[in-house]
Amino acid sequence: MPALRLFATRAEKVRRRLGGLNADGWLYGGLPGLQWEVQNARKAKREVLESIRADMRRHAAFHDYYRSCINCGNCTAVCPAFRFADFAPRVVVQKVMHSAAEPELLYQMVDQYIWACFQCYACWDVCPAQNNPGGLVAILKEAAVRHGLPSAKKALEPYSRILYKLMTTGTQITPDMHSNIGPFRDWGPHKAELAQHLKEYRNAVPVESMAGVHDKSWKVDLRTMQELLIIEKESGVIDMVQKGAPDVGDVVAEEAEQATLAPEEDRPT
Amino acid sequence: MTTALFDRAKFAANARQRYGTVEEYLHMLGTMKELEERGEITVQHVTDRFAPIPVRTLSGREKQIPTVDLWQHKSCGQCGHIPGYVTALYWIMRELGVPFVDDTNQTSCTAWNYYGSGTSNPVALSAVFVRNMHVAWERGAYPLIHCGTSFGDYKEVRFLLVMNDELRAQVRAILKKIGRDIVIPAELVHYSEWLHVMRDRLAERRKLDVSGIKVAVHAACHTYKMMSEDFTYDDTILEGRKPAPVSSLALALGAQLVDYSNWYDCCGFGFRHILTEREVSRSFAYFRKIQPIVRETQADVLLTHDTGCVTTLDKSQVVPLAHGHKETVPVLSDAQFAALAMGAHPFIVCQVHWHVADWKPLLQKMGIDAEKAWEEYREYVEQVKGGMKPAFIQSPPRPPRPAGAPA
Repeated sequence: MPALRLFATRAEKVRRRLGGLNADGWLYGGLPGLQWEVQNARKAKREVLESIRADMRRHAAFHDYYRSCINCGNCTAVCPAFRFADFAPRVVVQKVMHSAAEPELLYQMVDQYIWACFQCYACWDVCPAQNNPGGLVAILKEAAVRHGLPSAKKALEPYSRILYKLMTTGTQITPDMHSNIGPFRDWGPHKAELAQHLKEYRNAVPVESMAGVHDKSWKVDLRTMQELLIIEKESGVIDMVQKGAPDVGDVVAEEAEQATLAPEEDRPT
Repeated sequence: MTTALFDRAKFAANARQRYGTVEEYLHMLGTMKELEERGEITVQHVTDRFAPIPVRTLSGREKQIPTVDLWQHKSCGQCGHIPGYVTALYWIMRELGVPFVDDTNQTSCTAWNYYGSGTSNPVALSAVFVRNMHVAWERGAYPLIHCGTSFGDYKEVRFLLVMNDELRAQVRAILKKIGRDIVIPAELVHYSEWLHVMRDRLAERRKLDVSGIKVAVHAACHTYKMMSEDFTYDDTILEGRKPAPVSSLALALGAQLVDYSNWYDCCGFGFRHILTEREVSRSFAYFRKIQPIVRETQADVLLTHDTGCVTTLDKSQVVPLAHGHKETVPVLSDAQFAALAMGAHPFIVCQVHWHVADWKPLLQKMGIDAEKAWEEYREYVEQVKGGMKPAFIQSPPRPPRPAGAPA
């Protein structure tokens, strides 16, 4: 009968520690690592991983959105996405915290996880350490678009019409989206009836900037749209959209080019 | 170890701002004043000509709410899908004799798109913010922000812009290309804060008795969860524990304010979800908001003060009802409800027919003959179809521009 031992040997401790790692030998800073995430992160190029991490830390708002997570879970307790999707803001902040050593953690999030966030910012409101998980998600969404990651392309695919409209007119939600061939068909029979009379109802709206306007939220001056295009071009937004949603980005880039190259007298002054 | 300590010190040094603390919010306002004094930025102040009324914010700071000569910073979602939001607000202003500017030289804040898709960045968001503010300043009117998300986004980018020299330089360079410069309002004001300070004047003009109406309120996340320090709270409204706007208006009009357990939850809008993953929005809106509100309060109407909230809470009731769920409640903006109580036409002015959840029981309980009003509206529409100019709600005459104001 073996002698009773109260303490594990060093070899046993090492074996136990190794047994606690993921099957592929990666350590996720104490977070549960899912195998699909691991496989996904492995597909990414190392330079992309590093670049996403660098982008995040360089971002104008990063040092305000992230300080240090005490893992209290307040953010997750109030998170609407947590109730209905596989998403927890605590995990976002934890992974950001550990990403200095393991940039793979960021890639896993950027390539799927973050897109579940509702961006309601309840997490920020309740964080005792003044972290802003929703803000970190917004930074990572930017990175996903800028690097043209598959998740960004997938997220932007059904978004192209709205994105184009916003970038070129400065308004993104328009009455013609109520039409029966537009989105929102699940808004019921009342909406279908509204769609039938859309034009006449809209023409009778008693606000001068809105009456009769169907393809924009309100009448927008040409000069205003030109100024917006110049802002989008100069701030790098068009470049990033060309990577995440090339179809939209290319068309907007052409329009921005025209806005910039318009004769001096036609340009905004 | 040395490297780690160095990194840590560098990180701390970079953390110039501390979002989410009252001290730093007040510090930002102080820095904004210093930048103005150094001539780096122009600050648009709420001077006496805007007849300000002070409110208390969560930070304890007194915020000045301008009450006249307002530049209407419209919301793309409201103007596009919920026109009654805007028409009701303009109508109330006209009734009170409050002059305003409805400008076509305005873009949306673009933040709905940013939060949903990530297709923007702080430079662009700040430049869009300042461009719109510059237009308002040029017109000599004070910006009144209709959308909760625009209000939240603008509070956030104003903080960044004031506290980050590099960002400010980038934005200034872009603005130069469009012939503009940095103008920042001393106060960022949401329209529901305006309704809050004007509530007694609205109540004086109330025509319908709404004392039998049970009102539930949904507070919009981006008004009070983003930069929470800068939103209106009032010790006499819900003991100062929840944002005052909307609730205060319902109380002033004499309605019964009812409370419910999930008030802090968002509406389920999700920015991206409402557009491309609506089953998520719908489930959240119905099972976390509509159902508990109706079961706990039997509310006659759910009032809110943001674009996305009205859209999501209203439109998300259709599918659950089709699946056999019973709970339903009409969803209106605070402005629409107030205008109705003040005797505005439910369809010509308040445009209630753009809303999906059944509003007929509410109108009936308020004493409005919906069928008669609908006939009047149909007649009005036919007249417009026949070439009549719509009954545009115009601003009362604006006060004269002070000497030295921008052209």
